[in-house]
Amino acid sequence: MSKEPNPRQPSLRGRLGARVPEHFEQADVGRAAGGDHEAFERLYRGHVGRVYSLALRMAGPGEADDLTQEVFIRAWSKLDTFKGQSRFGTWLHRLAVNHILSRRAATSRRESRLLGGESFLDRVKARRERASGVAIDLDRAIGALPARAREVFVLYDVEGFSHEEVAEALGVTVGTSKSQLHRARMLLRERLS
Amino acid sequence: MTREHREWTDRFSEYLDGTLDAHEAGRVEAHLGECGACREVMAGLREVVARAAELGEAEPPRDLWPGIASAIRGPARDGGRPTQASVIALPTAHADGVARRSSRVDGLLARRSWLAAAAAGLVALSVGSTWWVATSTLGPPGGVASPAASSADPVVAVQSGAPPADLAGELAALEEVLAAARGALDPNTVRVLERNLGVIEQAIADSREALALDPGNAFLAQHLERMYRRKLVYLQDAVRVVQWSG
Repeated sequence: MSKEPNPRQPSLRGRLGARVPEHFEQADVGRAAGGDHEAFERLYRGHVGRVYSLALRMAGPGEADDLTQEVFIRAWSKLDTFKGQSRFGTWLHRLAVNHILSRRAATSRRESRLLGGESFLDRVKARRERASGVAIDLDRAIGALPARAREVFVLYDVEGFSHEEVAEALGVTVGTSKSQLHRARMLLRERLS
Repeated sequence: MTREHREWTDRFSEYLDGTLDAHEAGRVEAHLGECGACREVMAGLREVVARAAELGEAEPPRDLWPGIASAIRGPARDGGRPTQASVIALPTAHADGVARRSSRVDGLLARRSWLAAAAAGLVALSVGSTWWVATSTLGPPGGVASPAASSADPVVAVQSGAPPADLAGELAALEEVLAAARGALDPNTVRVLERNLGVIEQAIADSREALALDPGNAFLAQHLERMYRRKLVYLQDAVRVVQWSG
């Protein structure tokens, strides 16, 4: 994934890095790498909101808790590989995106086998909501997007990645990233209007 | 939307993101000046983009740290991790600690992945059904809640494998509603619901099996408790579907 920030808005990585004074966080990272659970808990408390939000929007409420826990468990196991070349939040976010996407890929394959892709209730809900004409909130509308469009939308419009970064993370072309983003925006426009 | 409109709107996202070249951007602007329908689409897209940029953080509905702490600490009988003091004082112990941590966490994640694989279908599953449970076998294995299930702590309660006491009643009630409504649903819907419930129950059974092998594992108990709570959510959704269908 490119290290170039997306100029459209402060990236998540920038926002993550700004929340805790760097020297405090660096000290906690060092302590946690040495096995200090309390230091790791402080890191968790400082970053759980952003990781959970990412998981929630990428995978939905049914998976967000588990994914968030897995990301932090994975981060604990890999702390010794964190070299301090970037902010801890940047590193954690990259790890979170990779983990969530890899889990989503496995889940999507399973869902596809079981349900032929889109969930039954999602279809019913979307149909009802369109029929009712009731505006729904953005998070719910994001959750009802097709998986690929949702992933691109969250990474690009919410998290501030560039199309090149999204394409690399998802293993698709930049053109696919752009077309899925447009598809997501158009669907959201319809559902929110 | 007509094909002509679509030829324009397909370029709107790139226009908004500033990735169209100047010539194309100029053409889009000229078209927007003369087409009200496209202006409306563009306004909607702008709103979506603006609202996405303003989305705030969502807080987890419950504290996730205990599950993480349990996973990274592990049961004491495995020897646990070196204390912080020993880690800091002895670099070799640190290295050993890191290795042990990686091994422990990888093991936990591997087991968790196995559980997650069983549960993965739950994510997309919207509903569970109950007639199946009501008429067969698939109530939570173990049947009636054990004394432990009456504990105030749902994780402790679920260590017996039974559903948490605070869920058991509602699960049963929802199952009754769905069992009664089965005949009114489309057969295809019934088939989907039954298939989904099978996955849910399989996830619960797998979690119970893992917990039976490692009954003191708080992480697994918590995971199983979540499975039951998910089942509750799906049943609630299913009842809503029934209500909508009515």
